[in-house]
Amino acid sequence: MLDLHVWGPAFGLPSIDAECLAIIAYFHNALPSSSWRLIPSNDPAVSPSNLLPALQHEGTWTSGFQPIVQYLTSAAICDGLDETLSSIQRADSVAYSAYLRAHAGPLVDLSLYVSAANWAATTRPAYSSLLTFPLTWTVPTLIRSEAIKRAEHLGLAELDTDFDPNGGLHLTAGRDALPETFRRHIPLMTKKTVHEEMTPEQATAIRLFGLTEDCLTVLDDLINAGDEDHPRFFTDAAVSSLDCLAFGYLALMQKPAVPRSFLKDWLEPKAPRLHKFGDSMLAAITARGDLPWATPDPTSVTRFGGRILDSILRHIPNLGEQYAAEMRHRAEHQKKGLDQRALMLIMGVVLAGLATGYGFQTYRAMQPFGASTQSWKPRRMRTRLSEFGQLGTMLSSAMGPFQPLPSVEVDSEVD
Amino acid sequence: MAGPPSRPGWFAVPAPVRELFKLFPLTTLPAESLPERAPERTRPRPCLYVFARTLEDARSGRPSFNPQCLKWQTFLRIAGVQVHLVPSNNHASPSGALPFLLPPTTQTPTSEKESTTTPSSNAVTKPTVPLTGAKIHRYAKDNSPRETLPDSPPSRTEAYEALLLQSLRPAWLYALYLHNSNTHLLKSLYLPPSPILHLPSLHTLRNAATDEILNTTRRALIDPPQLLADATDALRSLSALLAGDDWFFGQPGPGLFDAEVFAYTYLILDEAFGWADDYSLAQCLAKFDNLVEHRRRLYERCWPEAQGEQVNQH
Repeated sequence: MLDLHVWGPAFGLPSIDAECLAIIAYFHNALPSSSWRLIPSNDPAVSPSNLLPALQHEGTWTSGFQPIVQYLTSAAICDGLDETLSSIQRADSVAYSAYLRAHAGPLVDLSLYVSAANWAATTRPAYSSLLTFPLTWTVPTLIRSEAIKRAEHLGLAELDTDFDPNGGLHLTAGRDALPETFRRHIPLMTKKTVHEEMTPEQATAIRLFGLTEDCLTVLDDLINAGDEDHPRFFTDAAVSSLDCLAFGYLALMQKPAVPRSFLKDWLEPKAPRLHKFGDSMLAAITARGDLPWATPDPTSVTRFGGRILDSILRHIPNLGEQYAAEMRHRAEHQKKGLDQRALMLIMGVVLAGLATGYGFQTYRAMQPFGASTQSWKPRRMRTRLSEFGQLGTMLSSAMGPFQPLPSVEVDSEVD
Repeated sequence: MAGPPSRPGWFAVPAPVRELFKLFPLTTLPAESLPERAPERTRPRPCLYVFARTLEDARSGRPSFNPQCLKWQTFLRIAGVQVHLVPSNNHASPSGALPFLLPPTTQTPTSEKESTTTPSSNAVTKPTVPLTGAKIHRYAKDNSPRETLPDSPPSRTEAYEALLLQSLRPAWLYALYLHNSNTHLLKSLYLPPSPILHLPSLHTLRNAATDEILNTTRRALIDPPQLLADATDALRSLSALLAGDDWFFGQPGPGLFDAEVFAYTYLILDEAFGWADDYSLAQCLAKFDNLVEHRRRLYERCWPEAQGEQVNQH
């Protein structure tokens, strides 16, 4: 039995992640549904490579679309979908797959993650329905920051500084960098310029459309026009691995109901074949019967708690990045438990924590700067009998009534 | 303030102070000459700023050790544009990355006379803008003595360029920057000679390379065997694309894509490069005879002066 772990369904698609969608389409086309199970585990940490989709087969873990496809053919589990392709078609398939990852991937990242309006209205709620409660606060933001890093080279970071004038959750830069609650009471004296009235997607529309056009035209050129109803990239094969991967990315461009749908707006009128391709692939998946969904194993409390702690630690500024790098290092070298490096790090963190705590306590115990030191001393001139316990007190009271008055000395010279 | 306002107004400088300031500047020193390595005011030939091991290597036009630089260097040679190579580093570049090309200075005929009398006058030369990336391509096409450079089919070229970027480059980055056995090689190529700067620079370079690989491969971890497998896949596809042709896409002559592939294949198979043996891209590449042959063909075409030397083959 093959266990395929993926991110769960969203936007009316079987998965929220492009590669997961692609591998689901691949399995569904290559294997009978009795021989595999689809597990929406929603936790990349189930596999040692920390990546979904992940395939578990007889104790072997494989992660990522291309490695899983290779594993299926090398372990002779099924005939690959690319068997019937010629060598040049296979070369094309590899090249266009790389192209999808390099260019379509960042576009999907832009649309679903970087654009703040789309993120708030569509993607984040989708993740919230996939994850359980405390993780909904920590994990989606981490996924988003990774996507922002991946799309950074496109130079469209301003999609992130989005604010909806009517919504009012986000702060804006420059003139009205004020919390929304303040802004309502201060009448705006200046008129908004046209540029300020536009949403970031409108302001960068030319660049966005350029990027989309560059990327999708290349795919549109390759897709075969032979079959009008079911366009495929290579006619010889019913469905190839490139079809599956392209479906993963194109479906995420078409299907999610995002408020700023710049990808869909380009795709529908300009590349009807690609649009039809996505629809027909999705229809083919549903036509072949239900996906073999299985419920994931219930996670233990320690594992769940560990995941919460892990995601919180990653949020700490500076320290979180160090922590993430260290965890990556451990995963790459497949280290488990405590070793010398981990011990050194833990010792270091504990020592630094102790030093900080001690310093803080010392600081708290210090006099406020500039304040004069005052000391109170009892006058020790008369009797000292009271120092000798109960008997002394009795004796001293017997010897005469004496109340030592406390005198106050103010030593203002000592700081 | 008491007293009547003085005649020249509130903000006027008092006369003695004004007198004092009129003394400055006491002397005006002659202008410093530009540093030795500054670009010359007049360039008869365009200058390509590249990474090079030594000044001697750059003077004799030997291939650069950086794939990006080598790509443009090769393309300019294919186009037949004579350039002067200048060894440099990223800090010199206006875009923050090498290579960049400074086109030759053009002189207007009226000012040429002037320039013979006052050679250092900067009025004679038009300021030139450094060219990078696609602009180098445009420049090479415009200034090529050959009539037409072949144009490969645009959309397939883009797909295969993405293949180089997506599958071959991460393996290259891992091998050079992150693989431990190649640390000495990295030090000799990219790190400053000062031992104090070694460690922080190495750290910065490695972090940048790690980020780049993770962002490109869209994975959570760096998996060296997987990177190597991807690179082998990419090379197999390139080999299938080239098939029995002389140049990619069945063109009559080499083009930009040939230069791009050559930039990797030349350096991967270069025995003088100093690769460690245990993470070998060369072993992957040597399996594909037509790519090795393509590398030799393009090298002989672009570096005919190196004909005497043995082209090192694996």
